[in-house]
Amino acid sequence: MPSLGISATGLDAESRRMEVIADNVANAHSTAGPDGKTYRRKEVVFTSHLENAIGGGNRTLGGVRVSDVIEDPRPLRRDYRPGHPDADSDGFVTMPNVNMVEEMVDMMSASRSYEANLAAVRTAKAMANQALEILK
Amino acid sequence: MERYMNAINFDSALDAAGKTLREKVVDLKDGADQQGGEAFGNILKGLVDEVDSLQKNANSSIKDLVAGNRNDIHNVAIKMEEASVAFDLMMEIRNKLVEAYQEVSRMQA
Repeated sequence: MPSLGISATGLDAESRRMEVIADNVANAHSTAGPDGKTYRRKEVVFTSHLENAIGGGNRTLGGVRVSDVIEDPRPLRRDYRPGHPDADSDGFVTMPNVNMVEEMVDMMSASRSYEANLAAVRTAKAMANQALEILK
Repeated sequence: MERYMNAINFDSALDAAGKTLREKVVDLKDGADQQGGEAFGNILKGLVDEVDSLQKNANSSIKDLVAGNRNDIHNVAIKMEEASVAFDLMMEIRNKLVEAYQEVSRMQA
């Protein structure tokens, strides 16, 4: 059942997207990372998979995959916090460019897309079961 | 990427199972035509073996999930569902085979 495999790639991709959103939310207030730099918001890039198509199925359908996780180039926020250990000489701390509202919307989108893929799985399964009804 | 490969693997496994299933059914038909093709027992055993391998595959992924070696619940659930559909298909074919066998065995000489 190739449609199940395709939906599985969609589920994989959406859960990966959710991981990236979770990372953004968790690091919304990280002033320094392991490299000493301020955390930048991350985003997934989805690419449809054409070559290496799912075995037996239509050669032009191969599902989706997360081809890249990119960093958001928008400017980082600067907060005046003179007492902070990561503050510069003027007392400003560079904060991540994570916008909580945006992350919440992305999260809802990821959750709904995951749900849509699950609906496709359920329908493919129901179709297989309906075909089995012929034998009964 | 590894996850994606998994998706491909179980899919091709199911397709392979389906292909062999088709061959078996064709064998059965040919056997009936030529008097004495493959034995009923062998056909059933072949079907059972294929479904068994799918179920073993699903089982090992459940074990991996519980052990924490993987965290893609959806792929495990899909594998379980595929094993279940394959099992249902096998049961239906088995029922048909047994039905046909009984039909023949009831025939008066």
